Amino acid sequence: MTLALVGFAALFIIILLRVPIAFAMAAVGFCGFAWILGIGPTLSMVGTTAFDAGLAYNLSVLPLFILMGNFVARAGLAGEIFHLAHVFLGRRPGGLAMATVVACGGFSAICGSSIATAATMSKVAIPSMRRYGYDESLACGSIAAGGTLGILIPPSVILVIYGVLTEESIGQLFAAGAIPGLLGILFYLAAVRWTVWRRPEAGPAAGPVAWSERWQALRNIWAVLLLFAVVIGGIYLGWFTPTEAAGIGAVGAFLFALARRRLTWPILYEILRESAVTTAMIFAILIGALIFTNFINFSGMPETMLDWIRGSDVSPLWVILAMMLCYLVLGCILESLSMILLTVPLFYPLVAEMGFSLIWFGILVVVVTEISLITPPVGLNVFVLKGFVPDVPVRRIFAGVLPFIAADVVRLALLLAVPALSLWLPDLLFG
Amino acid sequence: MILRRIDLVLGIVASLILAAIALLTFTDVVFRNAGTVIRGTVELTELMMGALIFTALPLVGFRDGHVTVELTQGVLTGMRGRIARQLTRLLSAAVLLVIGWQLAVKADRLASANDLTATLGLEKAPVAWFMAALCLIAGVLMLAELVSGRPDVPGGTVEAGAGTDAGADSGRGGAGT
Amino acid sequence: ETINVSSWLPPQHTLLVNTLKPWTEEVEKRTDGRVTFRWLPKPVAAPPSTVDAVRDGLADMSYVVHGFTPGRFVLTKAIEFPGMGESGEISSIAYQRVYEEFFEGKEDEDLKVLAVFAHSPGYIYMRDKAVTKLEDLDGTKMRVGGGLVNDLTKELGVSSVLRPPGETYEILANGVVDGVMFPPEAITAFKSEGLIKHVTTMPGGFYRVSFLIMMNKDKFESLSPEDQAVIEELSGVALARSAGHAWDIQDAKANAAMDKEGIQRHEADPALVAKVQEEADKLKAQWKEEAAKLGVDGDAVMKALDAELAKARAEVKQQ
Ligand code: NA
Ligand code: NA
Repeated sequence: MTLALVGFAALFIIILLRVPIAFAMAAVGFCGFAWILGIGPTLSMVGTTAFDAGLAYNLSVLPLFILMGNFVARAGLAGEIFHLAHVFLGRRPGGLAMATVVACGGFSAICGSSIATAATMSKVAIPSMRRYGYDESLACGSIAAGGTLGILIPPSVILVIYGVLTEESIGQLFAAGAIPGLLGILFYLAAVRWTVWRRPEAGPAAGPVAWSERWQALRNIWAVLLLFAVVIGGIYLGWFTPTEAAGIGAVGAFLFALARRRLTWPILYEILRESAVTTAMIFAILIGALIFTNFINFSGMPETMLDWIRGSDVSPLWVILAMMLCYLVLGCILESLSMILLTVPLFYPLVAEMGFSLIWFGILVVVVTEISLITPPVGLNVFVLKGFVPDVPVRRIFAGVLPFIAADVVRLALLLAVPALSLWLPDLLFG
Repeated sequence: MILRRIDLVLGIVASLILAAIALLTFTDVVFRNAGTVIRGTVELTELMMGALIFTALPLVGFRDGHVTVELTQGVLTGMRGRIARQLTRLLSAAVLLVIGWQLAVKADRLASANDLTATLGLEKAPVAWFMAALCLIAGVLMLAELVSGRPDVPGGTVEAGAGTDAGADSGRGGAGT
Repeated sequence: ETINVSSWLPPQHTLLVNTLKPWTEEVEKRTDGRVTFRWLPKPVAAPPSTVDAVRDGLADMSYVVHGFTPGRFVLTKAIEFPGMGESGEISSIAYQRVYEEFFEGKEDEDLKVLAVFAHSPGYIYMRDKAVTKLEDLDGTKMRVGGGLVNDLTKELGVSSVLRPPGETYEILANGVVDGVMFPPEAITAFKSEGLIKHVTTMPGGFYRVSFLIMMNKDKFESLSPEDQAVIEELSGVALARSAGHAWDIQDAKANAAMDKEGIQRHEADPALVAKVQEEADKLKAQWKEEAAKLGVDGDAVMKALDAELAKARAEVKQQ
């Protein structure tokens, strides 16, 4: 146990010294493992871990969903979703921020990643909100927060990783994410309303829109709906597995981009290359985290925690609450994927033992991960935004995100209290 | 110059592998729903995944693209910052070289034990050799960066951090590209 | 001495609950606690890498399916042919004895083998369509594991879809496959009993899978001679028998669960059985050639297996 704590401390320190997270986890994991088992087994462990992670079939969804997201962004679908939300919601106070949130939700339905959702929606929504004189912290906050929906509304890269770690059905996890995702949109809309209620000047109403323009916007949206219907519908109709859905989505999105004449050879190369590089970056983290968890596996920490929880008299729900708190704290500083890779293998056997549904727990984990993407000091979605609005101080963006974090915490509590919100749909579809 | 050429070659190979994975998955589904099954798609995907990840791995390093938490930029400035930067690169290179070395050991083991894939009976060793070689290349490139002492060129890294949650086109943090 | 055990099956699996956990407790008791076992919270490697993990001392003890690493283990396919015993217990007793006589030290000289065993007979489980005749199998999409059954089904006109076991429920529910080949135990292990309507059996099953329970050689040799003797005594046929029987225990429960779901039972008709035997014989001939290269007389092995199966059958019946 002490050794594990030393390991975690060392990890935090060298991460703060700006060692890339992947290498920090690998290095600390290596040293810790060697401390316990000696250098021979440790060297073998490193090679085996890298090889096994590289050849994991169910992780092939990662590059494919990333590729799909990149094609979709190039095909201009994000702009159409935003335009639709804009012509319906733009007239209200704060309407553009609401449109952004709804569009983020819509885009999440065809994109598996939160960062990608935030990045894509920034390109689309920031110019409009600036034009109408939106307060920059509300504008940035709504995108940074809205973007987090990307990993809850299916498809979701993080749910896939969770499913792989816990051996839960990815199809059921996807289904479980839908209602909490919709709730997320509603809660974020409320956060926008609250912001403009307090400061009406933050989100001035846009001009009126003719119904003809609305119909036009609706007609343009068919491509998005079709792609979503094929990818998600295909899973439930049994055409393909969730793993394969990513391949279908990638090829489908490619065809859209092609049909819209958005593709040239250089652009195609750029998309493929970018997707491959992002994949390698994720796998570097994955391999680092696996090496580190191998060390934790031998450190005695999991058993000590288990004994401690078994020995204490607290009710199981308190244990879950403690875990969520742990995530919220870790999430302030850790990168989301590493956080999941480090903690889920520790927590899920406990959760299962206490008799909770691992599908439900998966949704809770993803929601806290969403929160970690926008909490200071390290909130990746906020940094993505910052890249698009270099003139806005990070502090201002974090300020704009605060009401959304509050909305998230309320949603988390609701999902904790009412498991049916997560479990009803998967039970209906798979029960 | 040579770096740019390596970048291009690896980029093209990685792109082709990724396209192949997508097309294989797509074709497999289409064929299966038409009543024929392509044999061995899972293991082909696995082997290609291994190749893809390690082909693209050196490319991540090219642009300081590994996810880093940069909270201490204000503290580590000037000479201290440069030393910290070089130590970081040294550690990263060491990790890559050790993993590459051990992948080579693994490849050797797979070859001598004659490990095959389950359906098509393909040898696993060549892919492991490939992964080992690319991982070593990534390590060597990281060392080269250390020796050339290239200053901090965060590819659009913003003041407090950059990276992705299993992200997509914004891989470069807030590069805004 | 603490033995680190790496386990990749779910903790409630019959092999762990009914065999390995009691076995480790027995060793602890008989060595007066000089040897203790520590079950790692998480497996140290993916299943196909487990052999190397134990060999290199990442874990001191684990178990593996020989078919995970085809090419590395050839001899152990012998028990996987159709008809090799009507229960896990019978197959495993005979298999362990034949292993000791013919295979030991041939392909696993760098491991301390505690036992080899086979699971109970594998059958055909179908989602919608009943299978009794050869024609019924033509063009069906079937999930099979690796190993010999993979070659066998190909010859029977089945399109074999090889998927990770964890995806079993999903691909059955989705109709990605029409059926699976499993021992009864696995149907309930993957919570699929509600998805299955028909099962087709044949005497001795269509296949079975060969397993290996092993320890790190250095670790074993570091134990005191008397502790080694205790482990030796509890290993071999005794352990193999218990492991095979673990499947039989679970099969009974699984069959009851499936009966409750109203699953229809069919027997493969004589023509199908004959075809299975014919294809199996061809594969056996191939296997004998490969075995010869490793200096093992395949004919003698098959003959010994028949004799040992008969013996084991009598032993099990007696008790
Ligand atoms: Na999504
Ligand atoms: Na955070």
